[in-house]
Amino acid sequence: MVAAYATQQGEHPDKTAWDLGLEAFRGALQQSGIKRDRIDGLLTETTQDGSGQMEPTRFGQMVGLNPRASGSLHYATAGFTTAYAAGLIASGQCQVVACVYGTNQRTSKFRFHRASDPFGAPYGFLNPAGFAGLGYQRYLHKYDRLADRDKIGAVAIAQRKHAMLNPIALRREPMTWEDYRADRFVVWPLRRSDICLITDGGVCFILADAEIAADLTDHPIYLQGIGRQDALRMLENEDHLLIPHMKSTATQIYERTGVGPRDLDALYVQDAHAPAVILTLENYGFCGEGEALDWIQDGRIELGGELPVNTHGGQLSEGYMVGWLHQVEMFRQLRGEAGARQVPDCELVQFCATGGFREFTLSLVYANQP
Amino acid sequence: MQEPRQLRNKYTARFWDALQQNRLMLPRCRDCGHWLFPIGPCCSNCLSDALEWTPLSGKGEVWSFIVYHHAFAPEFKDKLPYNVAIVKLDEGPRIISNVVGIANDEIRNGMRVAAQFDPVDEAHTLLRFRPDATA
Repeated sequence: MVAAYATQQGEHPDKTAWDLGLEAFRGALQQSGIKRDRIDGLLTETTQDGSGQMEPTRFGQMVGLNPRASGSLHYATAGFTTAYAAGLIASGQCQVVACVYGTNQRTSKFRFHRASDPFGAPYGFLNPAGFAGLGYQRYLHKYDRLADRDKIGAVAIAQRKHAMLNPIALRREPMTWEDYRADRFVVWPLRRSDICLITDGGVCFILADAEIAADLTDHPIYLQGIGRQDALRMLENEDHLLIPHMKSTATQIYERTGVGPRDLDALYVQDAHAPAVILTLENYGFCGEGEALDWIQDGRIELGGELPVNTHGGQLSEGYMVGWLHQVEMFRQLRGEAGARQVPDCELVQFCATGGFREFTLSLVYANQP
Repeated sequence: MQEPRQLRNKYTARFWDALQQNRLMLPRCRDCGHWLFPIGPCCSNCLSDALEWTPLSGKGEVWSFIVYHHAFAPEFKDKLPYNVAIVKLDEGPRIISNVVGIANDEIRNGMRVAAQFDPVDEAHTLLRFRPDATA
């Protein structure tokens, strides 16, 4: 990765998703000094509101590109776009791929009212929080932890502390345990603080062939490997709600990179909901099954703790950009550019994502050396 | 918001027709015995075309459940708080539904439930579940 740029998160009432994607694309070029015409691959993520914004053909036309390859992913996340770009580069189709996302879904009041499962709509099974809530309830039942439901508040509280050090984050006011316990339930057993914040914003990151990356920027960060496992049979799979297919992704990424959970300086979880952090910690082997609610207490996942998680505030406090902001934060941390929230001697980080309604999983490992 | 009529298609029409007659039916594979849910054009387990619409007992257990305190669509505002559950049918499929006839805070994982057929309009009936200790 040779560039990564994020716009301010929050409300941009006068801007379209195209404007915000364009702002991020220009920002990444200006910040890195990479010339527009070096870009020979263009990947976008289209907006989730069905408006067709950030469709790659039109975006490429807007920024005057005739790339070798272009394309987009619809409902996935930044890590999946990274995997797409890595394939274009590894196969020799492209050398320098710009990945761009923009959205104005906060000011356009897109409510994510779509059903969590098409069959569930008449029953009121709406919004992705429904699936996440079913998963957390099943988890609490399976491990006999229903009385400990609120322990998951350690995720939102840790990430808020991180967001307070991040000038582009949407929520930067302190959150105490009292605040957390007083917060309203949106979809029990999830409180508002356990669910991501819809935001307007744009992100662009640029991936290049590792052979030429050092010619494009002073401090590239290097992708060490990718793991993927999907589970398209969904609820037909036993315990699909607990995302057990993450275990296959974990095995792949750790075998391919030679890295293990104890080697990492920070962990980045695509946290549409706080339970994603719990399930990631257990399925990737950071702690044992059923142990994460205890494991995350007492600052362990905060800056200065054993494993800082989502040092930018994540989607619970910085903003919901489907994993795109996590890519920017990994770039900053590995280059030592994260300011007040810098992880000391940060050399190795991991990104773990779930996409769709838990049917896609992916992991990336990045290092500050080839 | 999708109504049942919009979920009706080539593959699911017989499912909705059966509910209208207060019966729960799903396609079952004659070759491997797999019950199809979601309903599709062939057996998702062995790709056989030998599907047979077969009645189910309508009995099962609560696998997981949630309680909505926020209406993501206006038509659910006056139903708050309402539950959504995954019911694991005794025949195997896990199905999204509501548990009715019980307070939300009395629902438990593993609770035995039986099918209840709730007409929503002249052409469609929704499958819901009620607690049934004898189920």
